[in-house]
Amino acid sequence: MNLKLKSKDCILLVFSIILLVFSVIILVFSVIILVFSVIKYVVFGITISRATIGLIIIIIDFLCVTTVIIYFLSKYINRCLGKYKFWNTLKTYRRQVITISILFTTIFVILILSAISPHPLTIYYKYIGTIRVPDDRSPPSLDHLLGTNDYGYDQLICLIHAMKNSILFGFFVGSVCVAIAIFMGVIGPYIGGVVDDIFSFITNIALAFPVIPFILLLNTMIKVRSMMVVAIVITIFNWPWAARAIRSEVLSLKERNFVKLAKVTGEGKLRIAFFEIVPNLFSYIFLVFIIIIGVAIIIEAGIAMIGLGQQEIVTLGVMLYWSQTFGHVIRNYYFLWLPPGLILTIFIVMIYLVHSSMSQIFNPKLREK
Amino acid sequence: MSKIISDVSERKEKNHQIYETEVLNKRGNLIARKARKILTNSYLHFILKKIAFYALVVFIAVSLAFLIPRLIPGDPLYSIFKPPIGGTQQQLEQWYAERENLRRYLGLDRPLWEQFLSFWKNFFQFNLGESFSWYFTPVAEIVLVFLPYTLALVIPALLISFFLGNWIGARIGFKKKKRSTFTYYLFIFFQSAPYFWISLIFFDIFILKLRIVPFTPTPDLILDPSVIKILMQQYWLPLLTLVLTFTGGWATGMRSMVIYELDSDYLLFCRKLGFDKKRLRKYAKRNAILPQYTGLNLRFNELVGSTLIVEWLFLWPGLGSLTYKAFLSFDYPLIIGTFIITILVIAVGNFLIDITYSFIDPRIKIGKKEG
Repeated sequence: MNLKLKSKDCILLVFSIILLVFSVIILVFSVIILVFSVIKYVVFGITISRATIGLIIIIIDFLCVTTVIIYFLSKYINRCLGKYKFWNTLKTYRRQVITISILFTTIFVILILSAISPHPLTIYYKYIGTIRVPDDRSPPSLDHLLGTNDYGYDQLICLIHAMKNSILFGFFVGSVCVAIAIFMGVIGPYIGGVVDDIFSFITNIALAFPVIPFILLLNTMIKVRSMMVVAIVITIFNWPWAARAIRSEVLSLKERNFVKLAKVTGEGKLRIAFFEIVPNLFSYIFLVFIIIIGVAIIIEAGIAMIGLGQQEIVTLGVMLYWSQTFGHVIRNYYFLWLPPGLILTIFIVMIYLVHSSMSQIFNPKLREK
Repeated sequence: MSKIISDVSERKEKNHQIYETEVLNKRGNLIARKARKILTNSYLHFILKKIAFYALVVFIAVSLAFLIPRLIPGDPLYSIFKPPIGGTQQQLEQWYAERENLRRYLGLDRPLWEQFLSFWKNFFQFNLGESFSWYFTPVAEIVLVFLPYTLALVIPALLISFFLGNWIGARIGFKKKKRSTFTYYLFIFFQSAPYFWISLIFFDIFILKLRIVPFTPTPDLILDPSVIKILMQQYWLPLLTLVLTFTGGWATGMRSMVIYELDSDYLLFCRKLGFDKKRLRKYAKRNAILPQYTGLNLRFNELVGSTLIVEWLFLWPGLGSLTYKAFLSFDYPLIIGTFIITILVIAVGNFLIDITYSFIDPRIKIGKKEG
């Protein structure tokens, strides 16, 4: 039972540990929510809302699924490594586990918070004498932890929803981009000949294409400020470099022995491409996916900030657009213009750290000695 | 005697003719050989290929810029020439006739392929149409006024960030000290902090708090010391944001490349021979800079895009601000004109980057070896 660790096993290991950390944090979180809702019910007489109940059901479901997954994963890992090596490998991959679990827990916590909190565009009011006016640009207080907006929206709630929307946007763009990149990068060199030439030509042209000017042109021309248009435009321009990277990996994998063996046994070309080569590329695809999420979020925020992006839903870029148009910098409202950018920066730093730590697993040369 | 002399002179003439023809032939051969040398030069082939490739990119982009406003459903004239509000039937008919006149003037009633051909004809004459919001001045004139401001940001930002970032990255990667890891994380921050937010912070610090930079509209470019002083004061702030964010990317990339390079056999051998650290770092940097240089194309595209946004935030009168103004006034020819100019800038920049790759990597210059 002295098997060597492969990169596939490493991913499984890391993800199992992440799930462990995850489930513990979510357990704590759900207990806190339950306690708070009970206190609310007892002290103030406020009934538990439907969203909270749904959330608790989701959490219980999640816990059940994670326990089942962790059970099978731990069985698999113990079979591979033996009982005592589990903790040793955990020590060596400490950094990876910490970074990834922080990233995923923050994403999950933000999703939960956005499910609990009220709609971001609810206006809060105050009374001047007997007249009810929107409570705009009030400084941070206990009611509104980060103050309120020019419209009278709570800044913290807006931030939570903006973060959720930005992350979902990034995931959408990232998954579509990766799908296109796999298609173009794997099929091209695999079929070969004219198809390969055409595919690589398309990727090269798309790579030399100016991204942001073209998005600006499209957004100025299309008067529909919808999320889908921006998402589609950003996906169109983000897959080429991923496709090129995957293509070069496929070209090196193609000459390995297991592919030749598969050819000898008479498997079809497409079957070899998608069942033999793609599973070996998963580590690489994960890195590409993580990077595209960050790039997509930044591009979207940059375009939204100058007012040419979507204006359907609240994202971090839209919040920066508000602070730009209402002159929060000039009027010295730190609590309105600092947090969106800071959160965006922290999120991108986390993505970068995850990327670098994961690439250390897949590429042992990069490990520090 | 005379016969002999004439003989001699004849022979001389003949010799001279032979000599001339031979030399001329030789010269001709030389020219032919030189021509063949130039034609078979693989570096020239490489350049020609690149020119064809970027010409194709420009063609596709410009034709897309032509097609997008025409293929989008809706009348392009509607936003320019709106119907009179609350007008009578007669007024409406008059408006309709005038709109058709305008359509004929702009050539929008012709079939699409004819418009496409005339568009390309105009493009080669550098006639990009007339702007609606700038009193029908030619778009090319307006864009050429704004273009130098953008180039003044893009080119120095690219060069400074590339050299500075690679220099810092090589130093961070080579030494394994606490200081270098600290700088590594600092540059990760700079790399991932969005440039638009950093520009807000700089705006707050340098313009509002410290009041180093005057917050006035940028004056026109005149060779006057006071004007140039204000221009320079406003110039370094957007440049600093661009340089900082892009230096982070180069430095972190270079660090990982140098760490990768330090394990290679030739560096181990050099270390065993007892080379000093400066020379080792020089060798590592020279090999690690190659993949960095191939990334320069992508970075250049990114840089141009982010310059457009940073310009607007600092009110720097470049192509980005022009696009935004054109967008606010629905000035379609101006939008398309600025887009085409941006594409030309990007294509030319990418072409130059591709060509100069051979100066860094001598293996590209195969044509010289064949001679």
